[in-house]
Amino acid sequence: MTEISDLMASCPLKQHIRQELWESYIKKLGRKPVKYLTLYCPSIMDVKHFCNRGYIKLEGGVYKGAVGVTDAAQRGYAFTISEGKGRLELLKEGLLHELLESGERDLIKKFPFDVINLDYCNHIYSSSNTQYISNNLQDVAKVITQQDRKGCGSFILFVTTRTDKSRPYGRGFADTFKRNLSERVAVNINSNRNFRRKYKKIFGNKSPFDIARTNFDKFISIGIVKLLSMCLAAKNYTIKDCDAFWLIRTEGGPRRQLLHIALLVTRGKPLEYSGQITYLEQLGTTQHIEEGATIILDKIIHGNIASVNERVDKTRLQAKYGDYIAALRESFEVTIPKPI
Amino acid sequence: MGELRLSERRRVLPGELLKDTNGGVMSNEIQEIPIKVSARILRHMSRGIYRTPAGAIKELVSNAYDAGATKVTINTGYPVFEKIVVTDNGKGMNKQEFTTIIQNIGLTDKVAGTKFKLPGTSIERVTIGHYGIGILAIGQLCKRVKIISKIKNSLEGFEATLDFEQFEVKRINGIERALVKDEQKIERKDRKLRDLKSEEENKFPIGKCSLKFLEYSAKDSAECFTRLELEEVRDTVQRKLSGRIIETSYSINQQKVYSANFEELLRLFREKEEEIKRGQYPYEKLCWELAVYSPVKYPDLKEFGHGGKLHFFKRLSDSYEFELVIDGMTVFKPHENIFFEDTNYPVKDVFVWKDESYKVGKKVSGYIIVKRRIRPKCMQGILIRETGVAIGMYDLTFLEYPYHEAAKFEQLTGELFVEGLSGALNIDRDSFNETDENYLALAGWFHKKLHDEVFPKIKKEMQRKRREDASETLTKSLGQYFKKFNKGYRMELRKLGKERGLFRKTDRVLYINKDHREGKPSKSTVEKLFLASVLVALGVVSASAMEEILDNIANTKKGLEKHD
Repeated sequence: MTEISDLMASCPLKQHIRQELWESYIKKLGRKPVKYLTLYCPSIMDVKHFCNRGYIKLEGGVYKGAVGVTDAAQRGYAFTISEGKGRLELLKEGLLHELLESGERDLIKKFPFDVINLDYCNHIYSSSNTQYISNNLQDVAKVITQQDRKGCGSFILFVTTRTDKSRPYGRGFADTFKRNLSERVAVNINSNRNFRRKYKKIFGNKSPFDIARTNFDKFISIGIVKLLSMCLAAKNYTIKDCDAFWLIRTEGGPRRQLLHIALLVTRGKPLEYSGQITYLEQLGTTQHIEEGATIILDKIIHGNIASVNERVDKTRLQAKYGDYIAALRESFEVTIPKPI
Repeated sequence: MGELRLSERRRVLPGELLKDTNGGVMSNEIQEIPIKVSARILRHMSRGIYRTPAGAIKELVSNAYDAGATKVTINTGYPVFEKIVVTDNGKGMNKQEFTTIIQNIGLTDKVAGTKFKLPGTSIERVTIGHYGIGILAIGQLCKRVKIISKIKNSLEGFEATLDFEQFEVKRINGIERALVKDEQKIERKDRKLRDLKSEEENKFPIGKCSLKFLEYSAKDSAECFTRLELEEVRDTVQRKLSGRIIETSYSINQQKVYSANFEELLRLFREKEEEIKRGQYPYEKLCWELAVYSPVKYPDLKEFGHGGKLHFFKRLSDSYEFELVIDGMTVFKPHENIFFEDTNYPVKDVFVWKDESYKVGKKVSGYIIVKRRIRPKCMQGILIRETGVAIGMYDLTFLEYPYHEAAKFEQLTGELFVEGLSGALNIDRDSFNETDENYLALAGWFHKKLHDEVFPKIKKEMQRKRREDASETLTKSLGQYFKKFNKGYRMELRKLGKERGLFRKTDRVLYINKDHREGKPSKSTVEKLFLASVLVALGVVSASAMEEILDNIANTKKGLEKHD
């Protein structure tokens, strides 16, 4: 197991989110087993956890219905070496939106998925892509398009992204993206009465540009949720239920704040605006698309999102999940005991 | 020693001293001179005995098999191959055993063919290794290996690290010896060392290995295992396995493919065989070769199941109780359903031999499948297995079969499970010493089977098929002709008796007598019979006259052949 993969695989905070947020949302879908699309990381802890919970079946050394996509442009190790009891049903190398754009047949054939987990905080994605949010949102848009094309009625969408301003290791939001987002939120405030009311209640008369400077994490979180709503609405989907979770990392670098969003998506009202999806430009031009995301937007605005903090909670969560994680980490290799 | 002067050709008395051409004194008394081996031989071995990485990894799998392992897992680190990990659940080693092995490379107490029982079972296994050089196989693959092992009912294990880089350059008596790289320096140094008689030099110390104890908790006492972590896999091995040897024709990214399981990998291997031949898909090739080599089980195919012609071999392979997992894929003998179910190229025949003696006390079982098209092509030939482990790959020469059988060789695939061949194995365990007594006996037995049973039956079958095809063609062609020009008329090939003529004509049917010497259509006579039948059917020529014409044609042909 590689060093970074090891870190990802052993993190009790992440396990907390797997159980408390992701698993609870998969339950809401009420299906077993599920077809699962994930951004692949060799440790495949998410797949193994859901397999353990019966949502994914391991048959003949294959995690049935589990498909992974990995951007291994820079580090080939991300590809194929599944550190589980078996392999995923399909693993594709490349950026998700590029694969879908280029009509990658094997991948498209696997659609629709019941659960789509786009965790952009795993090292593979965040290390190689400095403008990742823009690209990542393209992923979301393309994935939703495919779900729509294959007639998917309801599904679960998990999106995880960094929300901190700092750019350790050269990662972070592209400046152009931030500027665009501020502009769009400003337009949104003018055009959406509900949002304007809520916004003013919390931020007063500060402009989105000021908020982007002083309260970046909230600003970016609101922007992302709104963008997700927009992408879904463009394909006649609506958010039936949603929640979020902060994961605050303090070890191994500056403080990083990760927002984990979970959405239960169902078919919704047709979107008034039915033009080509160029979500940044469209943000704020429609009135009803964020309806379903109100809960999460409210939570973000009021600072009510549940959170786990590496510095505060790690020991406690390690005690809680340590053994489970150790068991989950078993791979296809002959298990050997650890020396004292 | 110089040459004896030819002019002094006379009988030499015992003890008499002779002068050689260099003026030295020689004695005709029998002397015993010590046989020495340069330490270099072991260094050469660490540099490479095996033709392919798969061959070297196979050695590790074989060692695990000999250690009684029922499961071996290999994590290749695909697609980068920076580190390869081989773990088995065999009996393991303790520190003392490992020390003995590492201090006596090549002096193993293992004897090939030794029977032993798998712990806690009644399953009997026969060892396959006997050279004790498995540890050196690793040196071919990587620069450093970490060995972690523990035996059953013990709380102690060990972790050893062996650095193969130390063999590359070494300082002895102030001389920097590039032991492997610089052969001339070795020669010079070895000449100097010849005079050193110390015990230490005679043991050929070639390096050092670090070793530390590991302590396990009581709950893990019953566990036994060996784990080899091949670190810093050699660049050339990485390049070979990742297909970067040929960099000009394609890039590595183009050939990275994914197989969810071994079935998918086999399909890819079959479909991309031409590319594989050109050096692409080396990972798939590695997995395929390891599946061929290892004593793993057969897949659940009808032919290997109950009542299947090859069920005996499934039972045989199941008896080895051996599982190999490569990067999460459980591998089995590389047989596919499509091979047996292919309607375009069906299996024509299967020959099976069970527990036959190829020599007194030596048994062999085997099978040969006859099929017009065998894919992948690398399965054409015969595979020899010694206690389930393959020696080399499929052999298209059929152990140097001495007769020419042209394309028929390519229509055969099979395996021979042989006992008592371990002595015939070359050091790489990938080929045979072809002058070995047992090998020759096996080849003799096998060639007789091919000569007396397999090829005659194939030939007979081919003849029958050709005749059948020709008859079918003739019937079809004449049918089409009559349909167009002589409606309601038809032709029938029928046995009418040897004494009867070639044709019998009625109002509606033209019978061709299959018992007549000219009544057996073949590729070369089908045109002639077609023309003759049409002429007789239309009444242009009578049946008896046509027979005469045909006789004349036959005689003319004979005359021409005689003339040639």
